[in-house]
Amino acid sequence: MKKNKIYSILICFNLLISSVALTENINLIVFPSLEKFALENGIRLIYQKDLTSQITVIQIFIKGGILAEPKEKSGLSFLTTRLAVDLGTWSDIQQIATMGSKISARGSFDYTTIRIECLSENFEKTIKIFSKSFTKPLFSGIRIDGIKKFMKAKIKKEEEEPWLLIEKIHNNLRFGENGYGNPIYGTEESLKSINKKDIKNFYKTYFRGENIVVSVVSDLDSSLIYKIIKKYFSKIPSGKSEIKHEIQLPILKKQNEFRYKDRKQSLIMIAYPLSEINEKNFALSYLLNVLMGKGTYSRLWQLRQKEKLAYAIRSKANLMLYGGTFSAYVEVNHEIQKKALELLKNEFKNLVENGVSEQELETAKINSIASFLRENESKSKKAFTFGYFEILGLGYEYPNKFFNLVDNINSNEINIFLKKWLNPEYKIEIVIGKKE
Amino acid sequence: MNSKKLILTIILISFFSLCLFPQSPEKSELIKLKNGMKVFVMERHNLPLVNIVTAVNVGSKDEDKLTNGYTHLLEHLILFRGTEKRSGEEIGNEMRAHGAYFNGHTGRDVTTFEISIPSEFFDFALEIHKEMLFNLKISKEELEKEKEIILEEINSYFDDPEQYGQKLMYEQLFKEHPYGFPIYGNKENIKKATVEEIYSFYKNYFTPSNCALCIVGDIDKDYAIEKIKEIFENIPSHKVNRPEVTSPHPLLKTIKSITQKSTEQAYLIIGMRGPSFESEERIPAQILTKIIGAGFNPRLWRALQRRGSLIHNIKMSYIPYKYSGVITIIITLPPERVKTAERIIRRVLKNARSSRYSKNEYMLSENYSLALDELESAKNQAKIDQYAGFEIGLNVAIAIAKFLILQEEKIQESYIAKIEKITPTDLRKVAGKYLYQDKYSIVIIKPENEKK
Repeated sequence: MKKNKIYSILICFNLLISSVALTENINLIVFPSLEKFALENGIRLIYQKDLTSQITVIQIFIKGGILAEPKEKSGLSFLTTRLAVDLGTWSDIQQIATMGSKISARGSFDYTTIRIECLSENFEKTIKIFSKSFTKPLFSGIRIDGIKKFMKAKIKKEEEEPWLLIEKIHNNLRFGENGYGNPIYGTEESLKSINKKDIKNFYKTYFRGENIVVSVVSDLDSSLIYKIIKKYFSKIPSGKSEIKHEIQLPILKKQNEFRYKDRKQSLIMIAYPLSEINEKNFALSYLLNVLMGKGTYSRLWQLRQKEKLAYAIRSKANLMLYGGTFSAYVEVNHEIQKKALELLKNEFKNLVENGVSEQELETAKINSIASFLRENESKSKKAFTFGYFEILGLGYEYPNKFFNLVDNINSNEINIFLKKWLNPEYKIEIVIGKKE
Repeated sequence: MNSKKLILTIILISFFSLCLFPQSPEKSELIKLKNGMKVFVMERHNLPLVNIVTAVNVGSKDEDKLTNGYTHLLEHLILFRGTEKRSGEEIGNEMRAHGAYFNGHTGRDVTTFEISIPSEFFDFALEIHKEMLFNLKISKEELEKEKEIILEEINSYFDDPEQYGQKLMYEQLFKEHPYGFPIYGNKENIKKATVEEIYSFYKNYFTPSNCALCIVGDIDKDYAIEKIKEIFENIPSHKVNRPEVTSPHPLLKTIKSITQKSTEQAYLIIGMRGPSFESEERIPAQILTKIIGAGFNPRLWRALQRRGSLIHNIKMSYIPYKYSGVITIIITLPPERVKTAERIIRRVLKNARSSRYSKNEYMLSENYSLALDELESAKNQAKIDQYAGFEIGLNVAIAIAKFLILQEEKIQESYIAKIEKITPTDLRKVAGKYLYQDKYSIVIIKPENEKK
């Protein structure tokens, strides 16, 4: 009943902003004014106009990421991308700094990203300066060493911070040394083995037109954005690179891992594999996450509310091109970690054995829709979301399809999905803390 | 509405609407209900969501050594443990059934309660928000359950070196003042707290005249105001009986402590007093913080890296409070480099009172072409942060609700306009007053196995 209501809000909202005629198969346009352009070199430009502020956010996706790294060269994709945002001259640094424009790089499984945030009045100047390093980066020894030092500090941070460490351990257990199992910042050894030639080759192979999506959300007009991106990004050579991968799910080396840390609390994770990303799987995984651990009064929330078990309880679904993961986390006093682990396992067991009722499914749908809206309110988040779906092959308009896809999932479908993926044979348990 | 209020309304509207969103003017209005509750409503139709936030003028500033933690405990009880009409579980399930996100944040000055919900369910959200805030029921059983969760939360802060270090830093910086208390509270107080004590604390502070309600989202302003009046205006108000809170005594000298924890890296945390929320120096202090340690390639980073990667990471922040402010520097670094880093940081902070900030100040210098216009850079970064923060409706609602409690009626011009006016002299003045003085609260956390 309430789900119908929220759906009707979206429809009314849709009518209000886009005047789209409704047919039986409702095509919701919650994110209006989306446009796509193709540059001659194959770069795809996604654009949305948004007048809420006077800033422009650009998210550049470069297909490749951890998956494209050779086993012994982990960290290579981040290192190369980070070097491609390292400005060339002091004059460039001065100008970017004066405008207050922010440029940063991030690593991920199937791609790396570059985020640029600037006052819209400085958009062209920012892109002009940035494009110099992006289209012709300087891979000098000093620069490479500088970024490697930064990456080594990040590796140390990951070892220290349990929430980061647990992800790193899980990815390695789940995927071994096949692509997704390698850490974003590499290891001390892999960084040592990466040389200038590796970086140049990686850049030459992956920084090519058809591998790149540029997603822009701005108060500026699309014609201006297109003109500027075309003007400064045309130097990127055209072409596409196929990524060789050896991912076959599930690859499971070990199902349990304990890592000692002298803390009052223990961090516990139970994780399962998920399928590769596609339109339906993304909606199903999103629903699973909402059902299980996202938000108050999800299933895992009961462990906090009734069992008084913990303050921090959450879950996360992550879908990649060739596989995915679903993880649930709870942080508890180490003296009760066994109890917490058992209760966590029971929640998964109950979910799979008893399935999801119609009513619970309807509630999860409402929350999925509202949550997806909330997550995509800022320009920065929207630029990321549109680009993310485009680079992973679902298309930049997927966010508008998401609502229909979620709404059309029935209890039979979700229960089959749960049974298939939350299989105890594929489960991994990790505990970081003291022994109980 | 009297003329003073009308002027304030116009100022507020220009502050939050026209200056921030010049290309998409949004309808907004500020009113005061008969019971004294301040209400601000702003239409924003970018997504079909509405955000409801109430800021309550209560925080750890209103606690003493025996009650430290009561506000935080209350925040949890209000969010999760039920009202006179419904249990916590019923409220939670109702919220979830309507796709609502709800949360709360306890602060030193102000505590906020938030709901973000599809706009169709505005009436439901407003009703339940009122019920949670003004009809709390505290049973012994529910209180004991929530205490256990809070004790877990406190444990998690103890495990986090940055959080733990900041707790010690605040204690040293505000000795004998409630700002020195941890917001999440003292474990012993939490364990001992009774239903009667918490209920009496609640009854005192949760009265409409002590609250500001802010609505931002996909809602008709006039309808929202009508509904707010219908639901909130009949709640009676009383005068809050609060302990007298004054500005903290000045810190007379640097206080330093060294502690050990199970960590891989060392943490150097330096705190100093800053301007209060209502001070004219607040925005210059924000800009100065960006230049020294928080912005693009800041001075501390440059100075520390010049010596060959002395540190792993640096963070600098400035938080203005009602009666003071805190400027914090947090550095993670290899343990053997702490002494050198501390020396360099002190030097950078001292130099800040006499150094040049804008390119124009290098006009006759041979370094002119190499000089960085740090002031212009920081101003533009601050504008970007401001715009980006205000793209999110819930952030806007929280900021305005807090603002209505903290700033009261002293708004004169917009944040962006104030940024534009800052000069290098303003920065040097603020640096001389707050950064230059050798009156720091320093906490060093070293790995336990360092000696080995």
